[in-house]
Amino acid sequence: MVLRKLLASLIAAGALNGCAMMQSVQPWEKDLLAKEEMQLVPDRIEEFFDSRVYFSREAAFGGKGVGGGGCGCN
Amino acid sequence: MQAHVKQRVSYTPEPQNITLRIAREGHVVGEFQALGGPCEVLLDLPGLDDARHFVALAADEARRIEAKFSRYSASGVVHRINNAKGRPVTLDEEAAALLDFAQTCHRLSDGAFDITSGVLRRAWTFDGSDRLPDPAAVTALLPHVGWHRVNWNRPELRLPLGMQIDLGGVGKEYAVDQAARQLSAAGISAALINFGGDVFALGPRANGEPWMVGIDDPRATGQACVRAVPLYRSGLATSGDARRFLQKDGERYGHILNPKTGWPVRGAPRSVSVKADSCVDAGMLATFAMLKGPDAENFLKTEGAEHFIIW
Amino acid sequence: MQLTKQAKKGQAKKGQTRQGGAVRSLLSAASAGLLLAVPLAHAEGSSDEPWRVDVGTMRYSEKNRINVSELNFRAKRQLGEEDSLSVRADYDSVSGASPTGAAKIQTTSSASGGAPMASFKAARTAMGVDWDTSLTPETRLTLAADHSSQKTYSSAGLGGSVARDFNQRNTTLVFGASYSVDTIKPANGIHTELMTTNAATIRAASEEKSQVDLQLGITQVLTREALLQLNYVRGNASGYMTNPYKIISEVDPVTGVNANGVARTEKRPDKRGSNVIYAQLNYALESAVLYSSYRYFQDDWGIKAHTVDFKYRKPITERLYIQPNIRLYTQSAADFYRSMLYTTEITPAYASADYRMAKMHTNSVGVKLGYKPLSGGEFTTRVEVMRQDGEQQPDDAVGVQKDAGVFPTLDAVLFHIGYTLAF
Repeated sequence: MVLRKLLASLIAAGALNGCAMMQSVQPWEKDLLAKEEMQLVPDRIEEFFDSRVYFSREAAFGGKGVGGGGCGCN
Repeated sequence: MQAHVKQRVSYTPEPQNITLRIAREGHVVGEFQALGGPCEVLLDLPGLDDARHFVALAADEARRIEAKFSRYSASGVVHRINNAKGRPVTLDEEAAALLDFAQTCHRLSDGAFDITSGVLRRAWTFDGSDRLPDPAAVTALLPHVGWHRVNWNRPELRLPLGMQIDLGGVGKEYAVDQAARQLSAAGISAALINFGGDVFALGPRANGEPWMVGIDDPRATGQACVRAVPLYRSGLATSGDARRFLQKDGERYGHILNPKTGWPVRGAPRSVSVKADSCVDAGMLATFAMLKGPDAENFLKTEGAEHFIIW
Repeated sequence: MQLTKQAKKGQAKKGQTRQGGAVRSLLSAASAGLLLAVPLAHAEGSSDEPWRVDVGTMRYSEKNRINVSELNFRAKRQLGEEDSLSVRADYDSVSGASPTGAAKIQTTSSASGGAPMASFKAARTAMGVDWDTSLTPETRLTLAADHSSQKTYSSAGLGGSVARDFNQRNTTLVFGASYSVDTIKPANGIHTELMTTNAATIRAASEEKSQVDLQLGITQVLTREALLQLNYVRGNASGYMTNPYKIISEVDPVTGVNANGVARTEKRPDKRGSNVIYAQLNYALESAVLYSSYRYFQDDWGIKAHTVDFKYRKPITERLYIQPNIRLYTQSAADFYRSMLYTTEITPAYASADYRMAKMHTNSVGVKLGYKPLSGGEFTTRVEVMRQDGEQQPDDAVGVQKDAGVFPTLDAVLFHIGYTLAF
């Protein structure tokens, strides 16, 4: 049922596109979005350290992409 | 492992000097002047506002290349080379790549394609008349023609005094392909670029149909088309002498000059159109075919290039 | 020549189309090189530099527990316009002690102390490679492979994802998959599970665990300022997920006394299915950026976890920026989590006293500074403090164990320095 919930939320997000209220952002309006710091993972090493530390200290993991982990953490 | 996905965002500034209209077939036509003639970009996009940006992207690229490589552009690199008075000129990456390419074409055509042959225009004026030049004047120019006389040591080019180069034989096609690359990087595929008759289709129309391009009839230029060529994703270029020829004693002298003799290639077709993977490929194959004279058709057949020849 | 959209039938001769032709193929090789000689202007949000190298070092210290020193190296090479190749190498060394899971108090006479610890030392090296390419102008493929190894643990993984842009690159759909296999090879072997530590015998030298992840994601440009990412990741793990270094004390069900320090090895199910929903919003506020994310994690071990994370990056000068961050995490206990077993009970099918399976929360705050010197590149430094705490008197704790408190509270500091250079 989590899956179902999720699909519903993904479909809702997809529907945002077709939503008449939302104007699609034009390429020349992407000056802010094109900045390096607007990337989803602006600092890979920071991201790596975080995922590594928290992966070894908490039960939950992942979410940003596939894979990750791979340590015999005590 | 971490396979993160990067959001691709590109920013481009806003455009000018372009006219837009919607064609009967439903696509947007953006028109502007560049590279010494009319240019158009056909796009399958619903709104004019969206299209304006992409047409501008193509126009900017056409104008950038014109400013850099036209021999008339005083700030351009070709102008700088032609006015170096025998001194070496250091070229940037793009100019060097074009010269390398011209050199390859010179080799592939056994010396028939030569960017130094423009000097011969001092003797030849193709105005449709019967005024052939004095053969001695042509012969006098020959020592200033020939790529083999050029000292090209990437990135340094040294032209002997009295020689010139002209990238007109490849510039427009190059601009078409570079503009296509810009549009493609901006996420556009249902588009066709036509810079003064040199064409590239980035991909089929939004409805999956090909773009239909008409090939002009050189015997009635601008009034009739001899053929419609469907293009999904390829380049199309034509080499011809629509109005640029001389005629004397029943013999026709086309504007394609043989750099070795300084005289027009005899028995060349009036027009050769070639379809190829890129506009540059198409343009060069068409030019090579022209330079083959009566063997034009054989050449293109052997090369397996889809073509349309008008004799 | 002129082009029009209409055509009449003409007498043009149409040539055959046949593959081959020496001039044509040489020409097309040359023209392909020509077109790529100059990088695209306004290239994909990143610099035109062909190389990007990141190096970093981290020191992670837990109060009275472990210390980790880590070195990282990343290099990315742009191969033409469409392809890039990245390599990663990491080295870390861990030393210190971590809680075994045993109860804090063995007998009523011993002084109340901290959680029993097991010391260890390990070095780990990891390597990985990523290849990123375009399949079509709108579709990108990323393939990745990794390997990491330490004396008692090794892991190898393969993964890939396909991302397709729609809607003028305002929407990106992502599908990803990965597969990894881990091998656990404790120095003392794999012991029989849920046996008292005296009776447990070595049943195998090593064990394996495999994990498959599937990702479905969408990235949406919402406005000129906002970018939203939504991900769903399904994970399926199977194999040996028991922690061979952890034990569970067996106590008197009334007094809580752990007579003779009797403890059993732990055991966890050999299947774990997990579902993660992750949402991230990047919001540009003039020159600053606010990153917010939320993650919901749920698995069939009964763990549910929520994570929220905020980072705010604000420039101080042209070259210097500051980025404070806060992260809050909370999880429920696994169904088989037992802070202790009772001497009188029938041994359950699965049990673990590992604090990471307990109901707990982690709070972290940190700050990062970034500096871009005139000479190029970027230095970053970051400090983060973290506190993890859980239930000191869980429902299953009895007698003296209740008084001693169960959860091994953790305080840690992370310090990181990095340098990035594109050239």
